[in-house]
Amino acid sequence: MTFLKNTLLFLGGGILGAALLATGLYYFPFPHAARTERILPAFEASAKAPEIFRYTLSDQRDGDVISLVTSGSPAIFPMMPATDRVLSEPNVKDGLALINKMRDDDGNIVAIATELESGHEGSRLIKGKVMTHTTWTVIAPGRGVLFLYQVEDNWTLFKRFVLPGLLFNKSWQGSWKNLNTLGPRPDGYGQVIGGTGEFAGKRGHFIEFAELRDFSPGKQLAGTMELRVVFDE
Amino acid sequence: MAKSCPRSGYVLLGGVVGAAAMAAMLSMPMVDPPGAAPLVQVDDSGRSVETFHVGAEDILAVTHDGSGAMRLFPQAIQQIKEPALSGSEVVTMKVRNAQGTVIGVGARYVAIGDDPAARDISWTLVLTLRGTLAAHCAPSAPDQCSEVVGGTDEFAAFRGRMTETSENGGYRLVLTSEGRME
Repeated sequence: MTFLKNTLLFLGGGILGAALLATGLYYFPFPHAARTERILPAFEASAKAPEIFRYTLSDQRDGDVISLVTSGSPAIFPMMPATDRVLSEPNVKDGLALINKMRDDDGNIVAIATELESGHEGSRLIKGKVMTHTTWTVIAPGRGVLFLYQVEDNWTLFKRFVLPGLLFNKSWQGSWKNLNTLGPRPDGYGQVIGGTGEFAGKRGHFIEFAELRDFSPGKQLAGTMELRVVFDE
Repeated sequence: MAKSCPRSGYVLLGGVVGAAAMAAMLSMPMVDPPGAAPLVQVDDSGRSVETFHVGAEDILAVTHDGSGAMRLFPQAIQQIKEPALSGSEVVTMKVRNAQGTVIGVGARYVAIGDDPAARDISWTLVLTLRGTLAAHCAPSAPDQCSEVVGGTDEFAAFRGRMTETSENGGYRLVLTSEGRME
């Protein structure tokens, strides 16, 4: 009887310890999770006239998102349009392939783009990092093609919206602004890796900045996403 | 132990073990792709040559204004109707190595370049655990031949060309380095 009681106490303590650690991790103020407040003002102060490429996230049939393919598991948001041809293989199951239209700062459609992602091997929950290798290719007809690379971190998106959605089917509406870019540059910016036409030979940096307005499990995210690109003088 | 350890001792011990187990679980990689070693051959000129394949079943999406070379896919995909994007075509796909293993994702782009009467072709390949490769074929260049214009990681310093050939409803891509392999 005593053995059973002590075993139950031990197990209860184990569950409590695990829960405390998970809760502590959820609320732990990782420095990189505060980069929107830290790095965005620095970027805005240094970038006098960044080139803006913006698109709206929605499930509208004629919206800015043309195609979105992931592994489909977990089903955080649906494929667009619906398809059974997904990224299921081990080397791409953490990836994403997006085609979208891009608008300038005035809302005019000026380009078409893809975002191709592969899961980042350094992603660890204990470090508060849910990262991807993200390559943006922006095709501006008559101007050229711009190739951009960044390391993206979605830790806050994951813990605040995706996790409650997956665990408790919880939806959210509001306005949450976030700097998605985490690197790879030491200053926290992504980098221009190549270009053609008027972008040929140019070097520079960029950030990906997002405003989320609606997260509902099983539905498309709603909000805006923009790339702010600065070319070296 | 049962007599010498108070009840709180069992709870505390359990708490430490539970926290350690949770920490170990959360320390595991969230992403652990197997990757694939480059299947590179050396040609008679000493250049590295690597071949990638995209089968018809690897095409994820095809969009254009209705006049593109490939059939729109999936059928319900949005067409590109905006005048500013006229003549553009984008295809996203999975990319396989010479052994048929899916090793990454890619995209092929057709768009108006410097010359309004001509079309540029560009490629982006994102190969898992290897990096990104960007290539571009200007209309004035030889048919189906793209110059590598940028990259990351393994491809950050790569100089060479990538040729595309239509193959079984998809593509065969051959990446060839510039100059001899050291």
